[in-house]
Parts: sequence; structure tokens; C-alpha cells
Amino acid sequence: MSKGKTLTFVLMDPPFEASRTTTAMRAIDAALRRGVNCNVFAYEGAVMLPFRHQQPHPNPVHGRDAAEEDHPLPREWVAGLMAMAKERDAAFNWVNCGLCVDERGAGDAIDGVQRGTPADLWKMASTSDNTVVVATA
Amino acid sequence: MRELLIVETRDADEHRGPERMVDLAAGMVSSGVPSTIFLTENAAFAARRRPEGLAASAIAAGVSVAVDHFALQERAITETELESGVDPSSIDMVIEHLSRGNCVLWR
Repeated sequence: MSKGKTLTFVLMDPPFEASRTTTAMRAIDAALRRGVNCNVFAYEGAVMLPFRHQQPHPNPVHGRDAAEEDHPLPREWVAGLMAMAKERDAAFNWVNCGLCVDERGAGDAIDGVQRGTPADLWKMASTSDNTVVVATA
Repeated sequence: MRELLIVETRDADEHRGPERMVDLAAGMVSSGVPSTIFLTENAAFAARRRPEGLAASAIAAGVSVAVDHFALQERAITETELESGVDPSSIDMVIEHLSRGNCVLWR
């Protein structure tokens, strides 16, 4: 029923801080699995979600190396969403707010991430069937 | 507005916000707008049965209440602990509402 529709998600939280990032990613994943086209506009700390240099780490307290710890990396979640979109033949656009990127030195994002402005968010929202803002708590 | 979905993430025992969202949803229902509260993350605790709890208040006001099955599992909350009338659901509910053009507030 929802296949072919387009939704825009606006994310604000930085990685490794809040459960709402995980929940938002689950929602985007659920949309893509249905073949819903998805736009994501990331601003403020959320521009760090696809940052290329995130690294897994060991957990010496628990005696685990990096592989055993299998620390989740949001950049891999973003890449996973891109792969899911391809698999389900859905469009997927991730746009990082350029000013927020510059503030944080977050320019080196994974492949496929675009740089934009609030005008892009306006265009996304204007051409989507619906938009939801996942702001910080 | 066709329908309202409120995605509530906050623990009702730590924030006043969820109570306000119940007030908002109840007000919308009384104005003729069907409204649902989807409890996820720490808001899932409010889905448990308790006297004069958040879920019971919402349901009594005509608001539909659903809880994220994923959040229940994370917190080891079983469905037998849920307030009567609370519907265990999945995150797909959010996509359903968005796809139908309903207003979705993410709190």
C-alpha cells in the first residue's frame, strides 16, 4: 500500500548518545523494506551519523577485542539503509546540513551522503507524501 | 487533520511530557480526530498495568495506545503485564501513519 510513496525524516541527535537514533533508523528501515522512498535530512549532531572515521573499539574491562565487542557503528547503519534501498528498488537520499558539517569537521562522510542546506529540507518536505521531525528530547 | 500519531519515547516516571501528550491526544479525540500514542524506548514502561497509569488514562479518554514490541523485549516486559487495551505493535505502525498522510509527532 505504501510502496512508491516518499517520506522525509529529519534527524538531529548525534551518534552514540540517544536511543532515538536507533528507533529512527528502525523506522527508516521499515519504510525502505516496504519500498517507500526515503529522504533523510541530518542536522546538528546527526551529521556525524555517517562520519567515515567512526571506529570499533575493544572492551578491556570485559576482556574482549574489537571483533568480539562488535561495537555498533552508525555509519554502518547508514550504509545498511543505502543497501536496503537498492535491494527494494526505493530511492534513498541522505543530506547532511552543510553548516552543521563545517561546525563539526564532519565533511568526510561515507559514500552516498550529500551536502545540503535547509533549502534542501524544504524541497524534500515539499515533494514528500509526509515528513516527520525526530528532534532531540 | 485525518489522524494523529504521537511517538512517545520518554519515561513517564521521569518526565512530565508524556502526561501532556495524553492531554493533547485526549483533546484531539474530543475534537473528532482519532489519536494514537505509540510507546517506544523508555516510554514502554508506561504500557504496564498500574492504577491510574498513563496508558489507562489515555484509553479511558478514547485514545488508542500501542507499544513497540521491540521496546518491550529490550526491557523484558511481557505482554501479560500490559494494561488492558494496550496493543503490542511494531515500528511499522509509524510508517503506516506517515504513508496515510497522518500527522506524526515524535517526542
